[in-house]
Amino acid sequence: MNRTPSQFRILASENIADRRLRRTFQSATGHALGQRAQSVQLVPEWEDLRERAHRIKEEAVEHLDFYLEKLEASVIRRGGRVFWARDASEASSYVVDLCRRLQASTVVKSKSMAAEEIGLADALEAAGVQPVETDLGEFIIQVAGETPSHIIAPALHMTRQQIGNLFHEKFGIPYTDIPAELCAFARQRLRREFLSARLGISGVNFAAADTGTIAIVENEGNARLCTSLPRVHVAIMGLEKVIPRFSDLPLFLRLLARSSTGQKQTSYVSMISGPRREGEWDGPEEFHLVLLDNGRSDILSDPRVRRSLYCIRCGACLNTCPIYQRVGGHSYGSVYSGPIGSVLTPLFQGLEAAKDLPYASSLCGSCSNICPVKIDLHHQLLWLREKLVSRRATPWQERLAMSLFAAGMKDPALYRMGSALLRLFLKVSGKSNRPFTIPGWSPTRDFPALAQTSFKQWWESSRQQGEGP
Amino acid sequence: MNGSREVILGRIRRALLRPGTGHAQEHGIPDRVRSTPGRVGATRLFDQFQEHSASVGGEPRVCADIEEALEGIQKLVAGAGYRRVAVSHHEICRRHRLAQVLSDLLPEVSVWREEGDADRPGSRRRNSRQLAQADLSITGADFLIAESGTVLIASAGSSRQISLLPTAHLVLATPDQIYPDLGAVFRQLGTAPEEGRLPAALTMITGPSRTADIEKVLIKGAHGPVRQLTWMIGEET
Repeated sequence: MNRTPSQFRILASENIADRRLRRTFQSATGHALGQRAQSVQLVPEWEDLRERAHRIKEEAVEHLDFYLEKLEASVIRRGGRVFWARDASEASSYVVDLCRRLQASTVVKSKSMAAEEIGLADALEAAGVQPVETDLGEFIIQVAGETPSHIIAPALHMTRQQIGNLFHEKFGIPYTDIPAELCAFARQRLRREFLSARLGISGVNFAAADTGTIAIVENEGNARLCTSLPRVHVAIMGLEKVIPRFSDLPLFLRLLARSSTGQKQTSYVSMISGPRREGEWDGPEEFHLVLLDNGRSDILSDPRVRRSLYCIRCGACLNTCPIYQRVGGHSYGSVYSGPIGSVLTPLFQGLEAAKDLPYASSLCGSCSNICPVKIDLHHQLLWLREKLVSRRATPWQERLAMSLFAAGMKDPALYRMGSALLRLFLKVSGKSNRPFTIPGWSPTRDFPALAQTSFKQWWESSRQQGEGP
Repeated sequence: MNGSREVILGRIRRALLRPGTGHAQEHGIPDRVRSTPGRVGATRLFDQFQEHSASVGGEPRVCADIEEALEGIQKLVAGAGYRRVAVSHHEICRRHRLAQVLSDLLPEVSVWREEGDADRPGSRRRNSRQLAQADLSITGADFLIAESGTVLIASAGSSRQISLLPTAHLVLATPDQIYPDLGAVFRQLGTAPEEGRLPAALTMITGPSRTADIEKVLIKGAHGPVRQLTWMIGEET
């Protein structure tokens, strides 16, 4: 089940061939887009909000060192602890060490893209700690041994029958494919884990530098349970999740809920500032915040792709992307899918390791239009393509074709000769028994039929007849 | 604090082409956002609150006074067959001696109140166990947000679990707690929240717990309450 981004072409063609999966993704993304559109319509100042959010993120990212130090100081002032993790293994070891100190054999975990990115669950298991995923979708795919297929809805690719069978086989409960019953079973089973766990792990949606407050957005309540019941709470965030001020939160909360699920507000938002205070009935005795770099400071060094760090992980660009809608999240072979995944994965894992991803786009720009923090995603994809070309990482056939095209475009005589030759070649080839094919293109697409006359001939003749444009 | 701190900060500063340390300054972003023309008055705001809360499956209503609310609670408990009720330490619950009054009104129901010494781990554990068994919890609110039908509860007033573990959660609110939007609440929390007015946990609750993780089918009561009720007590002042 270990997919890698280098397999994009194979995975994508497999998934496109799966009609059920394609229907699932198209209806789910369509539904999400409709919900989003409805709720955005109710906010006349939406474009202003996007612009403002973009500028606040810009401020945070352009002064990342300043705001991170400020965040650290604020968290410490509130009695929390901060750990800076250079990479996945440093972050995972920190959490594993916490488990050892607490002698915790199981930990409860709510949804965190950062934890997913560093493979925290695997690291914990390797250390003999059982990480229990508590988000319903995450729980399902953990039991199935799968990986998430959507940022917001991780089990989007599974049917209720598949889930029913899974629970029946793994837990020995009578088969049911009624979603409410499956959910009730998970609720009951996970309650026990919540009440006994010593450590709760969560992600972070936003971290306010001035107050040291982390905000966690969710609908189920499992993140609230993870952060309220266990004795210790550790939150993991990518460096870029910091925002300058607590007072910036309302703006981002409005944008996130509406962009991701079309809700005015999610069921729950927890704004947590340090551990439990004296006199309070619950809350963790220790609060730890892990600041994860894992390649983010490298992304920062290229001003053209720096804006990809503004992402608030709403998933709207996935939903609107004509490629994602058809190939689904697993094709990307990475935690991050869709347009933002096609930008982040090559940046995190290296361009050569994910060289097909920048091409997993029609460059229609729908992702850039929908992005609540106005990341120019399709430009970022183009820049990544440019990098690939300049590193000669594209196939030799493409390079040859492009250099011939470039030569032709610079010289009218060469262009005329080239196009005449090409027309002749295609005419002859079309009549032969073995028509000309282009590998990787022709099998899935019809080559456009050759026009009777060339554009130039048509132009001249229509001008003579006086019916030109 | 650990060794990677300086490494990471160093990388960031190099990436941003900024020599030395911490030269950045906080920039304010001018607030260019037009605000939506808001409605005024607590009653009108609560109308708006009710509309939005109901749209996400919340159960809002207005009670003329505490007597009407008590009557409502009796009906709610009887109607749903709730056996165990938990009452928070919130000011509104204490003011109306809710736990005591409900015990008398509902002799067959066990009423639990969050009380005693919260700083003793033993009593905190006992409280958790009780709450996990409760069918209904009753708490106050700190703020209501009209724009989204949201209730805000600070950890200083009640536990975090009392609004989370029971099957149903009832919030008793008063007209002075309602604000048009989240921005207005944040302004109320203070422009300098670092000065200590910010509680350890501030929880926003909008309708019942929900999930759509199985085939996008909406299910209420994923991990938290299946029912979320908000009752506004008293006329506009």
